[in-house]
Amino acid sequence: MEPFLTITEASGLIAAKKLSPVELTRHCLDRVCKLDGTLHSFLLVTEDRALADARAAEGRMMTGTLKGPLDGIPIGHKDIYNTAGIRTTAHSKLLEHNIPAEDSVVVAKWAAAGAVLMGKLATHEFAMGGPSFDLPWPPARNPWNPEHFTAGSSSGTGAAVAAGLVLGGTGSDTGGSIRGPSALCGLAGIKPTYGLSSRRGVLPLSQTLDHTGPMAWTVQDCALLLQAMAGYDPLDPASADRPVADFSADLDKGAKGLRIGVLRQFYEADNPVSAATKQGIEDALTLFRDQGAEVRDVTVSPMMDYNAPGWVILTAEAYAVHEPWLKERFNDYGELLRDRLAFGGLLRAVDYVQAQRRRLALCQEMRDAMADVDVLITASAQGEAPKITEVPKWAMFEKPGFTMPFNLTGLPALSVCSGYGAGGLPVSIQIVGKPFAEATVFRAGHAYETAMGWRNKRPAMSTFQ
Amino acid sequence: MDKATFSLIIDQTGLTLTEAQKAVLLSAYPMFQAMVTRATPPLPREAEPSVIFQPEVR
Repeated sequence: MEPFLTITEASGLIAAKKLSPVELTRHCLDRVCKLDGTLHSFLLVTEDRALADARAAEGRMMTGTLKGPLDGIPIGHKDIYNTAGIRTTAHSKLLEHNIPAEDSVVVAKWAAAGAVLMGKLATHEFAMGGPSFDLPWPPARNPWNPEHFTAGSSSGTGAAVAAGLVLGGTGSDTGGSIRGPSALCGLAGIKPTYGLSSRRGVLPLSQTLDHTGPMAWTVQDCALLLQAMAGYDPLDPASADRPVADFSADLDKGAKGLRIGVLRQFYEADNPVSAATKQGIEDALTLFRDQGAEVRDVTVSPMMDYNAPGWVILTAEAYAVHEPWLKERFNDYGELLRDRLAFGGLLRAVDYVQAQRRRLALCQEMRDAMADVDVLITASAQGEAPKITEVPKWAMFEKPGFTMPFNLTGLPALSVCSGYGAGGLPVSIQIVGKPFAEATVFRAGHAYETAMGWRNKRPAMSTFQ
Repeated sequence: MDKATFSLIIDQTGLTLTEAQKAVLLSAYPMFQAMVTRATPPLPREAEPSVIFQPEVR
């Protein structure tokens, strides 16, 4: 078997009865055994469940009753997604022995689509507090260099997908927790439009900023995964009651005719990016122009103007979620999370309301900026992953992040690998769409990704036969 | 903000922190306050928040 398969490749082989889901699952389990002692991407490997899921998929393959492109595909879930009867910890001592009674909506949907559950994946504590070395489990490591940070909070998904331990997985994104690890681990990862995918059964961090979404090796795979998780959930108050688009429908249309806005100020002035990141963006813009897209610069308020209300809202809402535990079990949290959360207790009610008022004004500004373009392009991270021991505790206060503006505005935003930097680690671009225009975002991302060839390279540590 | 005043506002939250834990937060407090100030510029009196009450509960 090929050491690495994308979901698209594997599902094609399974549909043609040329690949056994059981064989594929054993292959992934073997890779977990070989690599995860270094990567720490899994908090729990559900081997028996995985093999049972794979055998069921194989039965459907043999009888011609496959459920679709995820049937028989090994995946993992970030450990803030509830899994019935399977430990769900948020990577925290506070939930070390927590076993939910029900699956989250997304877990149930992927299971119904035939996906093979390989296990639960590492996260920054409660999706906010990492990388931490004082939790019951170590932090996930970056397969491109295990001395380096995965970013987070969907850290385990980033590491496991990049190293080929799973073919895809879930993340959650409140300020960049899908796109950050996708960027630093060299994946494709999308934070969909707010409300497109249910949050029910996912441990909350900040209800007006929380998004669920997929991470995978390619844009095409992300489209398949999102298809199986999107849709109205009447029991999620944020869920959008509208038809779900076909996210793969426009993948092969190329960039011709697309109108692309460039948020140049974000990566040149507000938080200047590395040379490799900037080169990646410029190469992407050249490619889009060559394919027949119209490219123009777009200007909005400074990136910190978007980050500041985002972090005020996040900190306030997260504090509201965690206050009872903070009062009773402050020292059971890791240091990073408890210190970040504690600031929420110092916010005044008027700060939160004013931030929500500012948020609406910024949403209107971004809508106006996108009036004459189909997508925006900017960076999704400053550069390559830093060493895991050199991540500042207060990074969010020091420099504005590239991802928070699109949590604040709720717009769909995709991180795509755009090459490798001087240290040999991935760099990335971010493609942002209008509300519920994920198909257009995927179209641009796929056009770029298939033209550039970055998907042929995997982390060296994972390329054994 | 001085150490005693900061200690007082932490105590008002109901959290029980050691002096060392308070000192860590105090060191980052100016950055936090700068962010709050930036998040809350003056707005027109009629400016609406992005979160609006919906009477139809589901």
